[in-house]
Amino acid sequence: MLNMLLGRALWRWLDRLPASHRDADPPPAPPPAFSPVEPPPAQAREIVYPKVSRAAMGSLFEVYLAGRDRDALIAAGEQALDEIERLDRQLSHYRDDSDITRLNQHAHDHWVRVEPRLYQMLKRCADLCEQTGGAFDIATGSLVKAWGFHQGGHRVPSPQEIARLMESTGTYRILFDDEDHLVHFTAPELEVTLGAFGKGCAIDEAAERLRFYGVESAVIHGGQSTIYALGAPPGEDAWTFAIKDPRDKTTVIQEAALRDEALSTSGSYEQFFEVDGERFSHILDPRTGRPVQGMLSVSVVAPSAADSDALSTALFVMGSEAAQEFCRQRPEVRAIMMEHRSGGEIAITRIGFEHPE
Amino acid sequence: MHEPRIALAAENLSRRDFIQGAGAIAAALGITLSEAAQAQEKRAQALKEARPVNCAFIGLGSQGYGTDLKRALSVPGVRMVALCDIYEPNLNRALKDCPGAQGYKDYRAVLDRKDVEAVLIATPLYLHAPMTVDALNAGKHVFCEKMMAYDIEGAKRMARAARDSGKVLQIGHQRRSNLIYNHGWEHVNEAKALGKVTHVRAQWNRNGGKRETWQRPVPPDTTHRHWCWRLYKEYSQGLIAELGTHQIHVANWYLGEAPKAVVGIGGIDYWKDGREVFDNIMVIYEYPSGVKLNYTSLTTNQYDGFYEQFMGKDGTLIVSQETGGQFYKEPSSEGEEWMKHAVNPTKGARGQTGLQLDPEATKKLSKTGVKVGEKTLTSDAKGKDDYLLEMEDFFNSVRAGTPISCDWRDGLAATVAAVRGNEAMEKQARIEIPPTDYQI
Repeated sequence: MLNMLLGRALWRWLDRLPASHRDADPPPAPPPAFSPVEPPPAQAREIVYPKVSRAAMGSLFEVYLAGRDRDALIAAGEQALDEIERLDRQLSHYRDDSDITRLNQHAHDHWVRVEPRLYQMLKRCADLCEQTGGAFDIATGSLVKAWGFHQGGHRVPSPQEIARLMESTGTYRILFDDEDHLVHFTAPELEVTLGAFGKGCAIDEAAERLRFYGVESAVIHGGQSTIYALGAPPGEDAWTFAIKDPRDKTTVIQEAALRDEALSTSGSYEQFFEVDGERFSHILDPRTGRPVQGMLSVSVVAPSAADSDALSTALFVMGSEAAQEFCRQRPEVRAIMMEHRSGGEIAITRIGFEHPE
Repeated sequence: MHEPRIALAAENLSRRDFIQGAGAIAAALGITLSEAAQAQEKRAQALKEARPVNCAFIGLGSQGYGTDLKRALSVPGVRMVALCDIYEPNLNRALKDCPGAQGYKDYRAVLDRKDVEAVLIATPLYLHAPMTVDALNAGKHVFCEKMMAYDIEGAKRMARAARDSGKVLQIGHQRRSNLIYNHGWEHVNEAKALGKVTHVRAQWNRNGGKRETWQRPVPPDTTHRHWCWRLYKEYSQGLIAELGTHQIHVANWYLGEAPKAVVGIGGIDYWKDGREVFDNIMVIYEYPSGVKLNYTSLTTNQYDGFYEQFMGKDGTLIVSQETGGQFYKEPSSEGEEWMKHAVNPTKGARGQTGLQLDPEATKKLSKTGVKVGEKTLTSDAKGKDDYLLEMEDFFNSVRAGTPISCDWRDGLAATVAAVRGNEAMEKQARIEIPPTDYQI
């Protein structure tokens, strides 16, 4: 029986700001006059917290900025959102002229060249795939389609179909040529789908753009499942976020203080389906070709949004034991995992986080 | 439960390893021997077809780096050996992507390099002519972004240099390489689907606020004139050049002629922020055959977006990068045989029944296989946007001498239209465009 819940946000960091700093929508103004007179020096103005937003990659991206020059901050925020749009055009497998679609169309026929940054992204994916023992794997496009996930729905493929599709799954079936940035798929039905990793990459590029424009304090997020904290709020050490229990959205299970770090969440609470009374997530285990069961939510902190996105998926697939082993050699990664246990209990595993008293 | 066979896909599979033997690769990667051999053969074939071309790229701003450089580096065998920009952060950003390239601030040093075969130019408009002429005279092939030049004399100098040097000069009006546009061209000119074309209407309307009207945030270490050059008359010809020439070029291409006169009205009526170029333009071009082109570009309303509309006695064709191509039959005309190849019905703004053009159908339509006008279309073009297709066309011309997509004639004609259009709007007068404008 199909049962899909569309939940609301798992957290609201905006609650953390004092009310006086919350930015109201400015009244509509006529276009500004171009004035050769210098504006008042930036230090004399008080701190403002403007926000800009745009829809992209099927999510709402928001950039919260902090500083003294409102116009400059908003302009920088818009440039950052432009980068996100550009990445969306480049990576989306819903567009018929994106680089990812081009790869999926041609890379089994011949060697396809991609531009340097995309090539590095794909190599990073291959690296993460190896490090996570295959728990994170972008070469799962045909499986994702077979399960109906890319359309937001689901269907259940037969074991024979899954076995057949596993022959066209797996990053080890992708060949790379580092000299010319060429990529080749050795299986005819192999398709890559970046999933959340694409969102993380876009946010990393957006953060780079903000820094280019001299922004020192900002938060970028995409649909709230991927957040990047640039710097810290003026006068403070870090941006703080409240990771809430997805079941009631009020209980805080963990606070995370981030500075130049990203926080990503993978969950099955908002999106799952049931077959014969069994609950399945929409996250596939690339090693088995089947959706992960039993994991409720995983949040990961990592230095970049691309990595935090990849790892939140990987840890979701791996389970808490393998995740703890994985994080043992990676002090820069923190995680909090919520798993179903028998009897309806939820077990919480903290990796790198202090248990709140 | 499968053993994760991630193995060596992540490792640096060097060219030498690859040549060493399919057997070794197969063993290392856990794929079958025949799969490895096939991959190796394809790699060898690709190398044969993609002779390396050493390139220089001058002008690495948002268009140059974000679009053109990335597309050029998506064409096999293209090597960036020199990157040039006067603004260091932009230069460094590109150098990060191309570790084998040398960075320059002075483009003349780039042209001194004997190993550079082709130069790609995406600097502000007023620099197109001096840099392109110098590059062609230095014996380099050139891809120059649109529009061709700031003024007619500059465009002619570029054209003469291309003619005299015998090198490739391609101008960046990328719709010339676009599948839908080529498909549309064939419908208009070979299938004669529209009958006699009497009028063309084109527009590019935007309403994206300050940033989309070129009022961009200026980074810490540069000036407003440098960063927002499109707002200044010294460097920019405004909307008609930045947007209009793309579409006027399409009209000239489809009609097979270029305008002989122009009238128009432009103003700075909303964005009074110190800009020197018009923030809204409306021009009408007259062609020798009597066809009129009505062109509009607004910055305060985006309903209808951008497109070109060809109006003929038997039908209407609306074409754009965004929405592809739609054909609408005029009630007075009889159905054409070709219409069954256009597939997919679509509805017009007032509920008219039309057909969505399908480039795949070109194979059935064209009498000479997959040739469409001057282009040969293949399924190889699937998944490629027209910026990538124009780069492929450029490098095909450089490597194999194939006909140039958007050459100096097309570029010059578009530049003439833009410059004369601005003149008409400035003088508030009808401007005659002499045939000598188009001759070099």
